[in-house]
Amino acid sequence: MIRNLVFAALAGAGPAAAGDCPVTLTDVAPEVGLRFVHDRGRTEAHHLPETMGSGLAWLDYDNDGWMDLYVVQSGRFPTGAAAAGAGAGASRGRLFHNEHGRFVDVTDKAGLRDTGYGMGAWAADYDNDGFVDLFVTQWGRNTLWHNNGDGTFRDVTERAGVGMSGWSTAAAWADFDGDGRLDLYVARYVDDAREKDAFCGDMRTGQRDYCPPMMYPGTSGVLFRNRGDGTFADVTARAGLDGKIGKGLGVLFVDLDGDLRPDIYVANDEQINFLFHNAGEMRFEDESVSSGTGFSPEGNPQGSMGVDAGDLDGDGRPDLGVTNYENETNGFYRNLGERVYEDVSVPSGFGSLARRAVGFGLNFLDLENDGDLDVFVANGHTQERPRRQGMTYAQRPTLLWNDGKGHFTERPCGPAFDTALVGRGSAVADFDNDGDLDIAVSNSGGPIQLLRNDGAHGNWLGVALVGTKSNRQGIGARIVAVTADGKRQTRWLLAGSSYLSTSDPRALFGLGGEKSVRTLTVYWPSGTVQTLADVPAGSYVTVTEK
Amino acid sequence: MCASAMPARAGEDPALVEAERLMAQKDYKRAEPLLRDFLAKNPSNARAHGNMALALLGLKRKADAVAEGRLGAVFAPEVPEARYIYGLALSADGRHVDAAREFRKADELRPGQARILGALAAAYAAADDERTAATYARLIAAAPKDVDARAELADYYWGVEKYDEGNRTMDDAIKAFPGNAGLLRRYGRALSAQERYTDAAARLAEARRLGATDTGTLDLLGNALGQSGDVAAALEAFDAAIAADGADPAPRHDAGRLLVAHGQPARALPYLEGAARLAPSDGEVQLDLGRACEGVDRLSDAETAYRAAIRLSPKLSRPHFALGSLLNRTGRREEGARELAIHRTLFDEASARFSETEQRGAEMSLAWRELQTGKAADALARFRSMPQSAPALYGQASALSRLGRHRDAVAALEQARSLAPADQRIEALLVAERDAARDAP
Repeated sequence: MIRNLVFAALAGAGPAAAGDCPVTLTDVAPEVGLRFVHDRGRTEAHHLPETMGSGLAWLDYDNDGWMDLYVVQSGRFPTGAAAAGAGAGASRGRLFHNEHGRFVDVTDKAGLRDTGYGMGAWAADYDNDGFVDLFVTQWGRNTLWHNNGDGTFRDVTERAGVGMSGWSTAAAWADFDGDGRLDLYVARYVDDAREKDAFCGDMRTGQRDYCPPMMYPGTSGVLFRNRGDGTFADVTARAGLDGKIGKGLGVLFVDLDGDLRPDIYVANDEQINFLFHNAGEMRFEDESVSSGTGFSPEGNPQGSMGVDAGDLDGDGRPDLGVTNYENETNGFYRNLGERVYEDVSVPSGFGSLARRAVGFGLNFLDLENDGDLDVFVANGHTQERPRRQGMTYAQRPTLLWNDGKGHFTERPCGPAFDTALVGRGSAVADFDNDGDLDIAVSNSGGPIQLLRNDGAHGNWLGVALVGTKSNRQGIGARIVAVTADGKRQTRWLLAGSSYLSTSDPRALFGLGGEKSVRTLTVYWPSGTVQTLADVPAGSYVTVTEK
Repeated sequence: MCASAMPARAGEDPALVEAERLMAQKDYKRAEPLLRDFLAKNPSNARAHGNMALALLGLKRKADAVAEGRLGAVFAPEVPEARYIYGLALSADGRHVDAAREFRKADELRPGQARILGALAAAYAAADDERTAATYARLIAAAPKDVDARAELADYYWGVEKYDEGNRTMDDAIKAFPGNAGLLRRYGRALSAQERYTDAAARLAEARRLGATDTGTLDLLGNALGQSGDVAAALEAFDAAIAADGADPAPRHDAGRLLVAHGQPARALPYLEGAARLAPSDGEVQLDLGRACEGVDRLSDAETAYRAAIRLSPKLSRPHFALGSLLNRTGRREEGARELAIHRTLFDEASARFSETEQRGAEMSLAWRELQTGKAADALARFRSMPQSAPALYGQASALSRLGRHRDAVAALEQARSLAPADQRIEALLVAERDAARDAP
């Protein structure tokens, strides 16, 4: 397979023909009532945030079993006095209620009145009250929206103490200290204060463009520990994470080494990516270099944006994926165990096909339910007028098909892949509860897309968790499904991945021709291990922690 | 020698005639003593001083050539050849502003002569003088068949980042001189530098078709094709480059590196092994050879190559990364950690320097932009807020000039010149500001 892939590359061949597609992805956003256009607030001044947003979050905020969607808005970039506050934009993020596959804008009804310059959104039930809350990062001040359980939200940022300052970008929820409550890690991008002292663009015409990230000093992320009383403590220093200066755009909070303690992986732009190993006792160790996940195979940092984790090669360990800048490979770090990774971006076909795009959103998902994880990448440049020939601001997304062993072939499937937009956040969910995963994409300065997955799918099983000792949603749990043919699939429940986004918190297993799952084992964050036997395919099951 | 001697006249001294004969044969070593003897007897002979200047230029004695050229111009101030030769000596000595002054005088004395215009345009270009393009235009009008004039104008535009103008000039040149492989090669190189690899590859392929089959052109073509994604065609070009000159390591190295980047380490190996044989002291080649070896699981060979790369290029961070990662993966984590730490240190240092340069560059751009848009006072304040450097002082002087403060501008430029004595832009502005300061009330 590798040889075939490389031969295709050497022959200058493009992606494989769409005719081989088992499923197709079609943008149905307008058709299902998702009407939203991202306003990036472009100005002639070209403030960097204008080209970096934004994301979205899938969440079932009213527990009706249908995934709703929160879409982050940016709007007019706050300057002057407004810059000191939450922002001056009149635009607002929108909450769309999912009514059996059709969406209705309920933002006003829900009381979501955020007018800050939005970046990303992370949905999780941080207070274990059974209703999913929402954390929105913004330039200037973040917002934590508490779900009141009656269809409305209230801003609890000040009391919670998670407003922060600077330019927050990516975040993720997980219970890092094992107390059954979800904690929060928030990455920040750069200190853009000195932007007023710079000109980037065409000196002759005076036409500005966005400055590259190396122009700006990096900043540190913040780790918040959930105290359990609605407030959070900044434990960054205590956890050993102070002084870790990066330019964070992507965050994963996932147990990478199977010790039941979620680790942190941060995708940094043009700086080393961080892997912070959770050593217990509320301490993290920087294993960015020793793990082999910090740099490209050449030893260079890359322009990293989006991240995801999943078992791409079927060995039961979570591998890491990272989207990167143009002329770089998207990163596939194969987990070798013992906290060491091998960069197989090129030989696997995962990365080399991405050189002619700037990758942002990244999702591992089993598109046709055949039991392995395929890959979706939302692409879009950061420069309005890229220097490199053939590069454009708007770019088409990429779809990579997994052969089951972690080798990938690019194959665009469906009209969605004919459309070039400035792709940013992407998140997957089975929005129509038909047993396959669909993809929502936020496009900078463009319309939202909802890529509905249609075609011939294998059988499937969906799993939703309800934690009792663990956090209520079971975020951080590992779920292993074994079918009668001996095939073993593993999923990790994450609250935060891709670029600035949150995907469906339910795990979906593609079963191919199998009619049931022989054993379904949940490894809860609390340490509880729970196994269900002979679970029939074709529905979502809820597993409550015992 | 790029210039002919000053014209001989009937009845001249035979020694001078003999010296000029030798110079015509480029025998400057034998011409020089003849001219010296002649000048001892005829110290005010401008023609002999001019010829002496040319002979000394041929002998690479630039400062002496300037002195002789100056005497030639002093004794024959109205003879364009004397001015021209003095200008050539000044140019050779890196004094392009002064050279331009002499060429300008020569041009005034004999307007429209292509040779003088060419020298004047080149001096303007070297001094970053805004009259460069107009002078090249005059040259092209005067000598429409001069290929180099057009190519040099394009070079000038590219050098000052006026890429569109440079490309247009070269497009016109190629239309005017169809079949000129040299122009196409030059254009291909410039387009590669602009990251327009597809266009670059097209020009270079055309150059090749027209007979430019030297290894340099073919290697350029291979790299342009590789960057534009046509790996198979790139390899064909690299193979041709290797066939053209088997002793040049570059095409082998480039081919190997391309194959490694595209996941073909086994195919890369023979190229890189060949490059390593031809360039045994090149650390980059060893690094890429190591990566190819690692790609085919020849881990011991990879380790040897990485260690060689470190030995050959100790300041290069990436071999430390490669070795550290390999050691780490093969269980020697302690030594691996040491190498990775070295990589991190070297990398962070280089990164900080790069970042600082980028930041300073963007701040400088903003100040210039302010100056361009009539905000001279703002620009001056910004230039002054920067750490003292020749470019910052040059910027200050430009802003001061715009504000009519020519004496202050002169002071800033003299300070700048002390920091960057070879900077011709500073020299040119200094001349202009001194004149302006003199004329100022």
